[in-house]
Amino acid sequence: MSDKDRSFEEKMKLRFKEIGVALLALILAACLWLPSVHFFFKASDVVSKSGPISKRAKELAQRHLKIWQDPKLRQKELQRMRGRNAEWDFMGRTFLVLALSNMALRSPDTQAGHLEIIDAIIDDTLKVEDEMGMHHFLLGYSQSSSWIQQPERSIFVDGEIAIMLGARRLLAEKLSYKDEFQSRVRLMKKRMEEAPVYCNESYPNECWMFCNSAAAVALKMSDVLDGSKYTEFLNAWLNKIRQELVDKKTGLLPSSFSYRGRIMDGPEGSSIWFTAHCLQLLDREFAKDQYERAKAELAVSICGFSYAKEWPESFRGPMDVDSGPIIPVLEVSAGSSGMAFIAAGAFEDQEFLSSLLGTLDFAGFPLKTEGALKYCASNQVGDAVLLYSLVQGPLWEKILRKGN
Amino acid sequence: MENEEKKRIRLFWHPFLSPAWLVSRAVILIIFFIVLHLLGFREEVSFLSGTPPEGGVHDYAAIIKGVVYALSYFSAWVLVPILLIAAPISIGLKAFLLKKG
Repeated sequence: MSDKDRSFEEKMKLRFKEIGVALLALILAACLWLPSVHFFFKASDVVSKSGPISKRAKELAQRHLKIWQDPKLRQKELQRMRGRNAEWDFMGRTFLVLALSNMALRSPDTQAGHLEIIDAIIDDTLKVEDEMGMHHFLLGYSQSSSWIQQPERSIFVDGEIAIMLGARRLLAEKLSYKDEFQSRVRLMKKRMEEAPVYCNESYPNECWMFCNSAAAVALKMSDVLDGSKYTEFLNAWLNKIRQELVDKKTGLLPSSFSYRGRIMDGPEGSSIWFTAHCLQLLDREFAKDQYERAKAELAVSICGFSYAKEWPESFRGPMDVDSGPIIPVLEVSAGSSGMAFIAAGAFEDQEFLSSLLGTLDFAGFPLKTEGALKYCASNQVGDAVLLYSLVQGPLWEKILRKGN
Repeated sequence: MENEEKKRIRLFWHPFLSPAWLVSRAVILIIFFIVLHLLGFREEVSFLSGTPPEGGVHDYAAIIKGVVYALSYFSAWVLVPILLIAAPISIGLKAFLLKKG
């Protein structure tokens, strides 16, 4: 071996050693940095069921108010969402009405302005439903097969419209909404009573726990607002879903099932978090139990950041419009994580909510313009859900106070 | 003249995974992210929630912008600090391990 070759060999050896050292340095740096990133995204929002509205919530609300005050901007936002999922257009309205109702209860001086927007949303929704029919707010397959219960009605649409009307009336009575609310609630109760598991279809032969829980909330609102006596039925409904629908492996309520109660999709993040929140008005212990179980099955925390999976380990469902895109390996679901904010706030789980907000600030791409905040990774319905999760509390408290 | 050219090249050309290489890559990544941010690509990351861009589901340019922005953003927050922290660690380890060896 010549001197020249030897020096080349030595050089190569040294180079490989240097690369090995650099790789070791990169691993050490990653071990130092990755657990520290979340410190830069520490959220200071505090969960409370009363008290002032947080800065984040005010800025988010600002964006929504702009959307509903500017017809062009509204058209643009709604079209974007409808391009993917017509339900988002509808649910964005519901969560915004619920959020504004809570904001008005927290800060009475804003009530007049918020009522104006709430009425605009409700009037527009009723007008669209009247002109285009309920299918306008449903996914295309709502017309692909026949509904079991006739005449066809979707409890997704009826339940959420009733909730909007009820929330508005709980804030301040409006006589022109009273009949609409009462007749819708009466009809829902009658049809739920007729159904084998006391649940109605959201889509043909497809009942969703999310929608039926929302309908149950509307029935509870009716007891408070109009003195209807639905408590007995609501207790029977609770017994029925506990006995016939709860998933045996996880103890969680499923997301969807047939009209006769055959489970279709098991427990699902985009459904169970909101369902647990609705159950708070009907059975606090059961609601808390569902929340704790959902958290154990679906909540994930990595390096100080939290998010929610769509499916528990025991039930692997598909990625769909409800789950939103699911990031492989980590199994981050936008739909489930969004709804988890509501449950974390509703059950005053400060630690989980702060960690979720940290994740949102890190991976939600917040953008503030002229005092209005939006999350670029989200959309109008996502931001409305988030807004609701940050201001919720007073409306549910009011229903519980008056209903007991 | 030639020396000047070499100096300029040396600014960006360093042995693979050397401390200078780690720092220069971090700088390149952060500059790339800042440029995309200033170009307003942040608005296009709605694909993360399955929401189509303003131009509709077939606005592939906006989707690509969103994907590139998201990758550069996460690189800036995750990769860049790791590269910057690794550089001095690498110098220290090299001094300690290789000289010892």
